[in-house]
Amino acid sequence: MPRKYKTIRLVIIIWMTLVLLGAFSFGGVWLNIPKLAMLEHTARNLYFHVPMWFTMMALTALSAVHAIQCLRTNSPVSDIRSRTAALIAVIFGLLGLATGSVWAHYTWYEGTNIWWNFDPKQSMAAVQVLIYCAYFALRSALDDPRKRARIAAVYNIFAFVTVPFLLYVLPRQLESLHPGAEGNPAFSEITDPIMRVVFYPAVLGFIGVGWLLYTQRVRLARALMALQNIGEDKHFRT
Amino acid sequence: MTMIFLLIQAAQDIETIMLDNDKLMVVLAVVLIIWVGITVFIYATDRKIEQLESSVKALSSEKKPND
Repeated sequence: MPRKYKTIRLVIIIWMTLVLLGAFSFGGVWLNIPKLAMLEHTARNLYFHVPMWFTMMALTALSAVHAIQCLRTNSPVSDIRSRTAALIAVIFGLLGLATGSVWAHYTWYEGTNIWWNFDPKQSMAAVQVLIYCAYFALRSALDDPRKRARIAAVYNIFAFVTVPFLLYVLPRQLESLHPGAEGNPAFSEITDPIMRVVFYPAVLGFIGVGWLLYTQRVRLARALMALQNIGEDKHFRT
Repeated sequence: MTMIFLLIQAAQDIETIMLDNDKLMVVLAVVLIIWVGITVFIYATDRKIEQLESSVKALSSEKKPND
């Protein structure tokens, strides 16, 4: 294993540990956050729920870059990278939907039985996740690896183009629980500036964790591909 | 004797920290346990992938001289 990878892995893990400590830092001592009615301590979910979406967006961008690379070079490794990034993006998207649902249930919908309220951002995010699920449905429908790689790459680029519209442009035009609705900036007067001290490192940390999972999966898929190639070579010789 | 006293003092301090602020620190303890678990898992997976990669490498290199 390259030494560089080991260093990056260690940095990401230490970084995330510090982020977790920062996210729970308590009142009066360090990084005191204001206690808002209804939100109370759940305001700290900002450090966890929102980075899920940032990580998903970063991974979809990575996926699209490798999709373009795959179309340019026909490299099966680019196809693996594009597919793996999309897979981890879907996982972070699902985690984002789940965390948002739990958060809203215990704050805005406290005392009700609502888990899913069709908030514009929630709906659009679900559509976004489904668009990437369709990517895997498309892949599974094609048998020829080269054809699959090319068609999936084209779809992937289209899927990525929808990301800023579904996650940013459309939800901001509609009334929503999320800050940034009606065209406001996402960090509004209800978000205390001190929260940015933990929030931005949390975004970077979760992107790092996403990258670790992505790298592991890519290496696994490459080893599998190499094994298949060896198997096919043997098949030809006998 | 002073040592024991200091230990009891430290335990009481942890108790105060944990129960302060609506027991928020208990959640931090839980989250950190989960995080340590995930970290160990990431390292273990990396080691397994490494083993797999080296065996794939060995397989492909033992095949090449025959070609």
